[in-house]
Amino acid sequence: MQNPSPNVEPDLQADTLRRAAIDRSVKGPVLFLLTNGAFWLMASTLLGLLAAIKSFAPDFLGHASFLTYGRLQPAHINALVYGWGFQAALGVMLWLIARRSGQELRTGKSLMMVAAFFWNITVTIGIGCILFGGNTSLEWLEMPAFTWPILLFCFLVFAWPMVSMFARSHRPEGFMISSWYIFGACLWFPWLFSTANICLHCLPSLGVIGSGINAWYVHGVILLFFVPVGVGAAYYFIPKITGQPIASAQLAKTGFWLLAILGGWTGMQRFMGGPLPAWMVAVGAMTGVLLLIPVLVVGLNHHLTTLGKHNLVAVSPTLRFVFVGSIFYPIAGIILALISSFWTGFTFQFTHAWYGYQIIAVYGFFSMVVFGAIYYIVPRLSGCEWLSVRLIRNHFWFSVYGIGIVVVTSIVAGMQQGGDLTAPERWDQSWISVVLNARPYLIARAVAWAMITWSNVWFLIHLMLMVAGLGRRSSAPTLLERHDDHSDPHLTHGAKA
Amino acid sequence: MSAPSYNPDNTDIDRIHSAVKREKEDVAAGQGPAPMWIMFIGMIVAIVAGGQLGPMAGGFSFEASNPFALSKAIDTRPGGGGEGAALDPFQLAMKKGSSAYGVCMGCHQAAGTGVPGTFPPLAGSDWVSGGTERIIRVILHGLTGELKINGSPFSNPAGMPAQGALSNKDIAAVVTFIRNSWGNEGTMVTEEMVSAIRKKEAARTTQWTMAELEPFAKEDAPGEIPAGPGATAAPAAAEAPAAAK
Amino acid sequence: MTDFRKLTLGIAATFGLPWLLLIVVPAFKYQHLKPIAYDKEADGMDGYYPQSNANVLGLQVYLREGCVQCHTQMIRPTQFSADGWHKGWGEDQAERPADATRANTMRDYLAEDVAPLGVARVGPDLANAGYRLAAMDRSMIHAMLYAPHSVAIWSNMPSYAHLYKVRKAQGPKSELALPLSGKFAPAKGYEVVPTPEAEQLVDYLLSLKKAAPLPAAALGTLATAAAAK
Repeated sequence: MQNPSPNVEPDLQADTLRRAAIDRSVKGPVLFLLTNGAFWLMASTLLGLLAAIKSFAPDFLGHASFLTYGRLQPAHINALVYGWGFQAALGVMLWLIARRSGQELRTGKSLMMVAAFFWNITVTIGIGCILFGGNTSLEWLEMPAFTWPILLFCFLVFAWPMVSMFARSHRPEGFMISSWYIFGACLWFPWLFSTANICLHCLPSLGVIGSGINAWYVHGVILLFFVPVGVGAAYYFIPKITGQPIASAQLAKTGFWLLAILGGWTGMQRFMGGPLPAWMVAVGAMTGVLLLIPVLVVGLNHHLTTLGKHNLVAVSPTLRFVFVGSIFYPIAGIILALISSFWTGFTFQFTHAWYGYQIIAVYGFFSMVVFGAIYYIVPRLSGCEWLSVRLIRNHFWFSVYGIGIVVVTSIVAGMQQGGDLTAPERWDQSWISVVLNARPYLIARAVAWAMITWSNVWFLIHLMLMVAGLGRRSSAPTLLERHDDHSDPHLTHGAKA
Repeated sequence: MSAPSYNPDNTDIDRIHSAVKREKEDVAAGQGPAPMWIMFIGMIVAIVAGGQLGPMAGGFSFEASNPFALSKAIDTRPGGGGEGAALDPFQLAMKKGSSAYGVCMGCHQAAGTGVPGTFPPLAGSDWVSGGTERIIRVILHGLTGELKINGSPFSNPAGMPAQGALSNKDIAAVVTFIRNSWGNEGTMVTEEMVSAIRKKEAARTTQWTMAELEPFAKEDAPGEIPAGPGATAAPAAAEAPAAAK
Repeated sequence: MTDFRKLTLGIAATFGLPWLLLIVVPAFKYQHLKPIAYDKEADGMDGYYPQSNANVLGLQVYLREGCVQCHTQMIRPTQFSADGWHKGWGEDQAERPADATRANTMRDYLAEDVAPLGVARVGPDLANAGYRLAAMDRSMIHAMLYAPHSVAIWSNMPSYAHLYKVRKAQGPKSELALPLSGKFAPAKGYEVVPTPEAEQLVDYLLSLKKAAPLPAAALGTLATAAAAK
């Protein structure tokens, strides 16, 4: 133990030791979840690349049953959501809640490791079933029915300690918005998941209402799980790295409660003009547009918090990823409003724009923020720093360009397709024009997924090296640009910030 | 240990905790009021959103899924006031042919110009405005070998692939289309003509060569052409002036 | 009240309300939906709406292959889309149908376990495919599933060759054999025949008919709802 310098107060030292102890206590489960998640990310981007190629070149790699687009696309999305999304989310949530509540994770670590192991086994079997003949064709629930109780139980194994930590949390600084969001996600997801699965797999046939419940589930997981985890993480890391407090507590609370109130109503507008009861569709459309308000509120709050510290985006990998994620967030909100409102929604309905929305929400916003979180958390758990600035930059730029291309081409393809589908003068024309018009966008999508695959290969290797303890042994963080010590944002100069 | 020797292993407490040590303190969020303008923007969004609850809400009844189910469907199709007036068959063929032409565009280009030396042009070509027996056969079974069109040579290893998978109606439409676009003028081709030729050449499995098609160069496929603009172009026997080279 | 209690109650209330109104109550109500009888005088026909005609086994094959990723089964009203007028998407298969295909309602899917409304319209809508496919030879429908390229060279539809068997031709051409030519045909002396799954799938596609006229009794509730708005 070094002699306390006159500038470092004993409080700060105790605080440092407490935080280090918390990190040590969650190390096992969090690193296990993040590593497995990164493997699934790799798998899902490869599946996405393959599905994208098959969508314009169906004869690529032959005609085997597991290589048809109808099986590859759900496999890709399920791998992205359940393999990567949930594991990365749980890893980040666990670390955040432990830190925010100021408590170490004392018991249940082995149970968590077992749960994570079973999560992976179940998702593997589930994706295998999708590819080899067990596809249920229920969006985001394509894995066979036997998987959901296992996944729910594994999720609760993680959620229960997180909820307890939140209940017992002791923070002298007062309310902490990140914990609210994480806590909300812990409650919302089991509720959504069990409702959707019981209705779709256990109750007698619900026909069209079942499709509505399916659409409600997909929107619910995006808005009430991935968004809260992403926003909660952003609310933690932006003040942490810039050193400035969250600009407005009032805006933070408003944003949270608006999301809570509106998030559960939306989803059924996916089938507007269709056989669902009209009022449910109309309410879904209304809340889809109203959700622009919490998006605006949160965006403004984050923007005001970063005011004056934008130069740090160039320096800190975490802040750079979180910042880009925070830019994708309002864009995702605008896309949701466009596909939900009746004026524009009919054009985008049943087009590639729906895929674009799923990707911008799960990858563009959530995954970018979580990458930033991973770049922050992993050095603290593995005791070494990231090895290579070039790999981080590589990961960043290929991901941003790749996701940007996927989203933009999907939305534009959607507009094109929607125009083709709703144009009255095409009433008796053959389908050939719809197919040929969409082709260039699908080719661009495949190229984009190839870029993202490339970035994820290096991310996975980088992460595995860190988890194995083979990172840089240093007290200075891996930053994206050279910085002399006086303006190093990560040094507190010993004073209480 | 005020001056530890450099010890890069897991027991170096300073280094291990350096990441945590350099973290900034958590501070409470700002307690000031939120800016007013955001309330106004929120109100505007809410008004726009509320607009979704208009006639589309179907009176909040469980049974009503399409509130417009009782209204008369608006016929927005072009070509007739929704009373079933059919388009003239020639115009119909031109319209369908132009959309079916998308398949051919890849090689013969959007304006029928082709690519010199490789893909023959369709504009101003006597193969197109000449005998329909020839052009229909080309589309059904493809073309291979050395070609000379409008006096220029064309060759390409695979030749033109057979487009026999297209329906008779689509082939008739696309032939009518190319015979009447980009300066070409020709009589229209009907589905019956194509079907008759397909039956006659049912045994054919390989692509045509230029020599094999010579006998058909000036023959028009037999069949009735509906009266109207499709029947008034010059017959095959007359050489189109552009083709005389 | 502590943060924890306030949040738990708040979340339970704000999520519980849509959960009840959008999911629980409609799920209950749906269980009580029954087919509506046609009135001989008002509708000019007998029987019930909808006729339960969806082939259940074939629906399982349809779902398993992920057909919903590219095909929808939902006709939208003509006020917002051109679905109703699209040629061949309804019961009337004439060159220029006089009337639009009606938009689908909840009971149209009453016979199906899962209503495969669809993810995207990469391919044509199949809600009324039964009418359209009835004009085709059954073996042509099989050929379309086995080798979509042989029917439409510009198609991106995958080949469902795994639903078919290539077997040695025994004697004269079997009536089950698919009519394939060119590069799609099997080797000389072999023929392609459908497996039971393929037959079930084609039965299902032929059973897709969701354009039965709405009985006057059903319109009554719609009229009340429309008047109430």
